[in-house]
Amino acid sequence: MGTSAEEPPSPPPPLEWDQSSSDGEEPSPSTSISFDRDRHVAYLEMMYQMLPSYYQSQEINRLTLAYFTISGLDILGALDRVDKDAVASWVLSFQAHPGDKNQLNNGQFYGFQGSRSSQFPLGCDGVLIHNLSHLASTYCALATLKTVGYNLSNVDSKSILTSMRNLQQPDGSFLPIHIGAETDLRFVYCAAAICFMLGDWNGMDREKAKEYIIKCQSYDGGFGMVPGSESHGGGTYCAVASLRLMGFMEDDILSTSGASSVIDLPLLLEWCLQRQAADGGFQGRPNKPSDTCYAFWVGAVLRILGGYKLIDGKALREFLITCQSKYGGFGKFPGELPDIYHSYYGCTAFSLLEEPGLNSLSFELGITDVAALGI
Amino acid sequence: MRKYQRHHRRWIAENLGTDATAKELQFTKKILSLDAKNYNAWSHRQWVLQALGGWEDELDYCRQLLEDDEFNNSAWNQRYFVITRSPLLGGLKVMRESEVKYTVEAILANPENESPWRYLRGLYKGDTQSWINDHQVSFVCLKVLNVKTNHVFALSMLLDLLRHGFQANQEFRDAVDALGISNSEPLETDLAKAVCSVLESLDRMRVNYWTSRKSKLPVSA
Repeated sequence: MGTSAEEPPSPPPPLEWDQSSSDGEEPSPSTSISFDRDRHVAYLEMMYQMLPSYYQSQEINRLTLAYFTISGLDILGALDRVDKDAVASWVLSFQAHPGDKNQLNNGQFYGFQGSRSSQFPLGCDGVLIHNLSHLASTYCALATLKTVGYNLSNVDSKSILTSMRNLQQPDGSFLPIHIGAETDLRFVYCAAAICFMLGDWNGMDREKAKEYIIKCQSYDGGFGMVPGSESHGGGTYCAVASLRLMGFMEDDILSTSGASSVIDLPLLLEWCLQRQAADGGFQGRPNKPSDTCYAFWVGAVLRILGGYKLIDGKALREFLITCQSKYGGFGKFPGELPDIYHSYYGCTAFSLLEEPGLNSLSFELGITDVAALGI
Repeated sequence: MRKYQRHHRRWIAENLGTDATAKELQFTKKILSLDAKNYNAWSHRQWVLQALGGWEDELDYCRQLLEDDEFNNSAWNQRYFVITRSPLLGGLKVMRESEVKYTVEAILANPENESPWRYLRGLYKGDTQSWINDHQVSFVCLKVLNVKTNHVFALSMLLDLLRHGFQANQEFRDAVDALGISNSEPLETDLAKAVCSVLESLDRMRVNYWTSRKSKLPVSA
């Protein structure tokens, strides 16, 4: 999940494609009809080693890109390509530490920063002067640490959780960063996932967050990013995954007859199912084109609710294959060049479809089951 | 936001007044003229309206956008935002009648457009009884069922109406049966079940859903 609401950069053709991995032959043209696991592994491994230059504008979100790449490799069963210890050290180096306990209520959030470029040098007495810790970066940091098997009890969770409360607003929503920004469902989700991964709900007021989420359900059943906003696949995921993580929604709720819900479930279900368009792909909003990533955002909601079996899996698969790039990875639309964000969500979508050889996901956490369990 | 910051912001807004409002609305309008569904632009526009005002022309702006593209779901959403939150209008109940008329026209023009169907249902949010009893609602369903194509949303709304206690007359029965004629299966005696059967064959993408809904329907007396 990106820290900005903008689209990832659209890349030029990848000139860095390593031909030696395919014995000097050109990658065969696009007409693969199967999930191209090896090519996706090669693509993500390439990104793990070095990001292409067109990602410079996304440098502030480096941790996010790392999460996509490393979690992606985990889903593909290729985590052996990653130096886990090096990754853990690197991620931990972005953590902002308070000088002393008294600082935890100075209004700042002591989490993780998103990149080296947003990390200022410490003051002369080793104290943090400029703290640009961000909720989304913190989510990505913890998710990545769990993915490489790092034991989170070694992380200073108390600082993170105590100071995270400073970001929650009176209406239940969350600021992503203490210096101020827009508040919306994305950061409610990040907060809930952070508390869940650290195993401690002292980081937020769950009831207030629930109230905010409820206000985001639109008249058509989906959820907008803020109350009044248009219902959106990403917003809907954040809403439902948050409710599930916080314990306000039982597992497989649709199968439980007579289950009560804090949200309008039948309307939500129909909204989600209607997002599958004639081309088999999922759209993020009514009357918009299908896009790879919504196969996860909306698909995961259906999975959480227990309604994933109601979609046309075959049609979805066929659509996703058209978005699969011959260079490895996935693009946003059929035939588009790949980018890291859509490549990651293309892989998660295939995991939802239970593609053989892919690891299963914790749908509400956005990492593999194995990573979530901390084995 | 600290109290003094909120105070300062409000001070600026009150002193710049309509000037700030107009500039912000114009700014978002410019973005939307290039990309009429830009999510960030719509979010900012909604914030401006709620924080600074400027509601006067908003409903008309929605009308213009929908004239350009009746399928623009963002514009439909904004319409709902305006009729439910504008301090210049009377609220949802007061606006309902004129909005239903507007929406029915849009549905009849493009019955395959999901947006006005959702909007129509939304106009009765929290007041299901009025929704079932409004002749305009059942009228538009029946009208669409009797035209040549694009029946799915009409059938879906009819199914929901029936589920909430709507009493359908013979005209509905006939219209649904006419759509089911291509099925080799015998016609269902229960109308709701018949609707589900037709949806199973017309909306193949969601066949599992319609089958599941059919199986969950109460057994008819």
